Amino acid sequence: MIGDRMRVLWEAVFCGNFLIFAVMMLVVPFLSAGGARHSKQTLKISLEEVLSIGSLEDGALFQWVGVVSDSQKFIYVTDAMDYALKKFDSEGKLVKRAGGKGQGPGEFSAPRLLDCSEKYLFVTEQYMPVIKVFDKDLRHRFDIPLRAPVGDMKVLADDLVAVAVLTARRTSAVLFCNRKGEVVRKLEFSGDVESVLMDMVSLDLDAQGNLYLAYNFADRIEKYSRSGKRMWSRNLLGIKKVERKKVSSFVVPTEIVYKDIAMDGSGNVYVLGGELSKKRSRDVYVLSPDGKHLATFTLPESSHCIYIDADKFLYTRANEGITLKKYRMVLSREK
Amino acid sequence: MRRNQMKVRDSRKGTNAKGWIFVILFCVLFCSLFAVNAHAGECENALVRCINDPYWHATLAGPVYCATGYLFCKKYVEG
Repeated sequence: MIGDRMRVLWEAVFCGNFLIFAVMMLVVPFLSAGGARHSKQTLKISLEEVLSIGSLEDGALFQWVGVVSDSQKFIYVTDAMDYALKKFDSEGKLVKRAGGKGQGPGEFSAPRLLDCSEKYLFVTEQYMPVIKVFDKDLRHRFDIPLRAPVGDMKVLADDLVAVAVLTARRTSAVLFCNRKGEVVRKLEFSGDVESVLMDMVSLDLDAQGNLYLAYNFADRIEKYSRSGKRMWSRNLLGIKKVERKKVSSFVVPTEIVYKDIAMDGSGNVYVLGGELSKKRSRDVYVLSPDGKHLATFTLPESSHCIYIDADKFLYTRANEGITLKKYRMVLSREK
Repeated sequence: MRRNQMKVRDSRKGTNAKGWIFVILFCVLFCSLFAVNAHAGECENALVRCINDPYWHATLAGPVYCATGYLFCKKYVEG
């Protein structure tokens, strides 16, 4: 009798412990994995606003698109709604405005991306296969004719620009063009050519000439060496395929995964997430030059682009394009 | 009897008030959801309009320019 009771009790205790043991065996690996993931991402980045240009009251900007800062600390902006290229000093005061609506020299129909070399400013047009080149006093100098409209651009020198162009042939290549628009070098990458736009990328290059790509419609960030060898490929969001929709006779992707890519002077890569990020169009993923995910931080407002100047200040959009914000990035290590 | 009628009226009032609260909550939720989805599909609609536009329709490279506009719209307007 006593023996039976003991056996029941023993079984109950044993079974209970076994259950606890089994649950712990299942849970502990997840906890430790989470800890490992946490310990991997120890860098924390916070933003301190240092400058704000444009507001509803002053009308300095109407719908800015491209931004770049030069070695003299001037800030240049393309304003799509004002058909203008604008120059601001380091305090945010408008120094000069150029452009105007039209298709003549120095005029714009849809000014978009902006970058600069030591001497020049380069502006893309959305509906024309051309890059308009201005000097730092915003005087139009010359045009770089291209074969197709530009998806993204990076200026490498006064007479050398890297462009990702949209073509019907879906070549999946970054073209390096001189001031005459001649392709002097071509770097092919592994784009998905199943449907239109799937090979569209945002691009940036480091000081060694390595190319970094963030795919606009795929969960893929890649680094290519100067010789065209793929060095690494990362997917940060775990998305296998984005939604696509038939529009007229084309099948187009409908979810933008990554919006922009930028590099700081240390070679770290900053990627702005799109509508599939946790904080859509606000999450910025920071990767080391070897592709290690260092940190993620969130912008105060959604943005279409990110730009980092030589002093590691971050520029983003606010008030849906009426305001340009400049932030100091404060890096700290999480304990 | 009268007290009972009062109680019934009060409980009906309470039920009505609860009903109104649910209706208002539903309206607020519906409106906020609509606001979130207001941008959804905006770029696709613009792309259709661009492709069907006689100006772009006439040129071989028209769809490429429409695609450029779609990319810009996705980056700037949606998301």
